[in-house]
Amino acid sequence: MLRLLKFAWQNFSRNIWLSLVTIIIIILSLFLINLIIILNILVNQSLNYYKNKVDISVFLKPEVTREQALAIKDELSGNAEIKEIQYESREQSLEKLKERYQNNPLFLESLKELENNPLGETLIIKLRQIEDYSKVISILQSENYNKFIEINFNIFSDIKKVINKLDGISQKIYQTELITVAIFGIIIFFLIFNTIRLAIYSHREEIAIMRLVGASSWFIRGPFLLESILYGFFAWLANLVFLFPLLNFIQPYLEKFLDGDQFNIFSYFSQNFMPIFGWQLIILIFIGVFSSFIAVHKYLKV
Amino acid sequence: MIIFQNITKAYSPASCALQKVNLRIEKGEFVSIVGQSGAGKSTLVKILIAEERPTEGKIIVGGKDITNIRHDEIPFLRRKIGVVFQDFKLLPRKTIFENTAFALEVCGYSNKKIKVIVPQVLKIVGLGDKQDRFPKQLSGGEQQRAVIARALVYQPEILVADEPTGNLDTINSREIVDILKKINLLGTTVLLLSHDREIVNHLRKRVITLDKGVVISDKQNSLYLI
Ligand SMILES: Nc1ncnc2c1ncn2[C@@H]1O[C@H](COP(=O)(O)OP(=O)(O)O)[C@@H](O)[C@H]1O
Ligand SMILES: [Mg+2]
Repeated sequence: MLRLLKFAWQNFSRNIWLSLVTIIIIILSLFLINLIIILNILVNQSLNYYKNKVDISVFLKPEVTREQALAIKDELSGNAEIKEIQYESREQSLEKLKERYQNNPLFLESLKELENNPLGETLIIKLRQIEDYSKVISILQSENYNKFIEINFNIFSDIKKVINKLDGISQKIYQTELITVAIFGIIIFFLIFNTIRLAIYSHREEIAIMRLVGASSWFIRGPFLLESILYGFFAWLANLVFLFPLLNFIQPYLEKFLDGDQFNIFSYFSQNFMPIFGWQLIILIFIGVFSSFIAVHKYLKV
Repeated sequence: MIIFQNITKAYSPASCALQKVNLRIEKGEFVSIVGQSGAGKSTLVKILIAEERPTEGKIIVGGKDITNIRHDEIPFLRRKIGVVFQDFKLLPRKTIFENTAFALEVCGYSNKKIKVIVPQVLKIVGLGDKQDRFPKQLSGGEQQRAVIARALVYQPEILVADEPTGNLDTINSREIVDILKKINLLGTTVLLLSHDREIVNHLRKRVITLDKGVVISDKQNSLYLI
């Protein structure tokens, strides 16, 4: 067994340039795949971030009293889709309005002209899942609540469109990820296939002697299969060495982008090491063994 | 030891390399098989080591029918039969010791055993003092002796030498034949295949003559007829 490894290592180091080129191409492919995975994670993360920011402000009609508003709030809270409801009194709303238009004296003047607060009570609904958006909207549109509410439901359908669009983008990136993995999988397959084929060719004398002196076929094949595993393993290792510093590098920008959101891409990758990189290694080894097995089968009649 | 029964080998339907060959070689014999080039000598060897399958007939080695030998049994057959070919096939980047040890390495022998067996075998072929040289640094005869050493490392019951002197001058050829004789005396069955009249006549052992794939004579203490 140790001797097999020694032979595999000899194959590997004797054709050092071919081996290096093979590994570098595998590294580049892996790196590209991982970049797309990162992109996908970032898009999803920012989507989640913005999705969580989407809430529904329900402006009740001015004639709805505080007591009625609180009653509606309690009733709505019974819905499973709703995480929480914040109540904002008409006085608070007015303060906010004044604050927002503090640089517009004309507007403030006209507010003062009014004797009563023209605003109604407000309920701010936070959803458990953005997907339930339409459901909650239709509850609000039902007869029970419709009469209390003073809004234009068109705004909501616009928000819905934006959400769908973002979901579409994340879907597209996911598809790109799959296609890239497939394409590079095929490239790596043929690359290893060809490298092993050349290795077999450059070892044809040894192989002829091995056959003549009665080496078992596994002893003849073994080094080539091991060699392909070495390629996968080294490329995988090198990829990690490049990737983690990159993650560290983009982390500060990410924090700025998703201000305040607690998301660390570095620890995300560390925590999901096995699901992300473990699978990459397994698939790489599988591709390597599979392609070299076919090459050995085709060019080594043992 | 070796029995060829009605062996016919046709590489293509048009021409036969061997036709109904019947031979029986006993344990410990020294047999020369002679014939002009193209007579089918190498084909006979290939069938013996299961590199080629006979088109017809049956072949038995050491009491075992190997006509339809299973693929995974071939290595074990080949460890029973040491083979030397005309083109030496030493690995140029390995020393004589390493070349000889290679045969044992690839069959999973321990390094300890290799260190014992290889020097012994190299001594038999007279290369005891040249084991650290590279093939380039040896004469043709010495190279061929190294190949014989490599064929001997498993202590095979049969040693087959297909044109072992093909590339050598007369003196070197005599040396090789003398080594084969020595190996035969140590108990190994030896099959020498050659088209070289000189060395076969020098031997005065059993000679089988092949012509166009047919056995035309099989005599003890004989000379090369054609
Ligand atoms: N692999 C092969 N395919 C087709 N014909 C072959 C092959 N090997 C040998 N032959 C033919 O079989 C005949 C015997 O060849 P061979 O056994 O090599 O003879 P020898 O060793 O006596 O010179 C020759 O006519 C040769 O052309
Ligand atoms: Mg021949």
